[in-house]
Amino acid sequence: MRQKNKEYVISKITTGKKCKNNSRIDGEDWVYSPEVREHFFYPKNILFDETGYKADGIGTVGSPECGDVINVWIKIDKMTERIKDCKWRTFGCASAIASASMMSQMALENGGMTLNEAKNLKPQQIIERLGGLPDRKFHCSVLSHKALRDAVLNYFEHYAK
Amino acid sequence: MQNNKRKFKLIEKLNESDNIVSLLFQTSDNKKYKFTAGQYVDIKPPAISGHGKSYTIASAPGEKLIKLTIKSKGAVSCALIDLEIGAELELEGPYGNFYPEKEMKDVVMFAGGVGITPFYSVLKNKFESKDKSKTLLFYSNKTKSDITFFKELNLMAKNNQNLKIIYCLTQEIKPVKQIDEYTRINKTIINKHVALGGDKCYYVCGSIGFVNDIWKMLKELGVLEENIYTESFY
Repeated sequence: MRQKNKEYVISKITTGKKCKNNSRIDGEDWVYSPEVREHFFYPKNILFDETGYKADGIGTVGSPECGDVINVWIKIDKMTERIKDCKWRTFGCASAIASASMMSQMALENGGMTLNEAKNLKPQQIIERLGGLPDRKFHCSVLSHKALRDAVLNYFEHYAK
Repeated sequence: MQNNKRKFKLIEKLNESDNIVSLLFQTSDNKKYKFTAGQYVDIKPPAISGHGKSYTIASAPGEKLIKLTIKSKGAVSCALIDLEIGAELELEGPYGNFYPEKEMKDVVMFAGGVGITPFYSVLKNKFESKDKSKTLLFYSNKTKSDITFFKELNLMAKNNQNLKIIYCLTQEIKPVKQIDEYTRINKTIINKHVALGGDKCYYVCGSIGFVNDIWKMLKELGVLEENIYTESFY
């Protein structure tokens, strides 16, 4: 069952007027794609409480530009060196939540990303999968890709045997 | 998040081009500041309420002073440029991974405006360390007077046969000495100067629009995503 992001439902994303492709435009002409709205309203792989969650790698990244912070937890299949679970939590805007959710989905697709693929995920790849982000929200995708990289490096540094 | 803050003192200001200023900092404790060429620091000037901003280090790791090359645009950047000589400031970092991780691989760089800063640091470091890989730098600006580090880059290319620079100006009307192209970087220009494929890495830095455009072009030209590295200013 999909878990709706109730905390953020009352946000500017719902206050805009509809445009032709059913995305919404608010007072600052932000257009959110259907993919962004899907991942914002129904975030995938979110972790509200990490107590008891045994991660192999942890990444935390903050942006001084917007104040957003994201935490990422990953579990690694030691045999295949692929990501077998990817969780995240962020204090951020709609685009930050959608970017983090999409990042986690991409990390787990097709049997999970290899560590090298995860380390080299680019913000443009997240944005393309989200159907685009407004330029002023570009940093949200940067946060997600940096946090995943941070988690992989943390795994290499502290957990890889 | 680790607390990676260090105090620095502003030593000198240099006008690099029409609206670009370099600030030279020294660590307040006079100890070396360790970073990798291509990394950035986060700064929140005391005069600014709210959030700070990230700036790439333009100096090479071996240099005594830390150089931040800043465009006079936005409250944070303007507050930094307005700092008095001798002012102390906290820099947090270094952060980022915008540097070649595979040694000796040929590199193609795309810089838009002040997006030259990480490349300037990487290039200085690369040639000081006698790295023999080939580098082609596409450097796009509006006019010749907007080009940052013009003399320094030309000197670097003159002294290093492994570095070639293609200057592209988008708003210059008449032909200018030492300029190669008078248009935005496009697929025709890339094809004209680069044999795509092979064992190359592609690095792109500039505004979000610039970086996204080059990213799309490279992909359309068949460059693999895994070989493209990006950094955007926002």
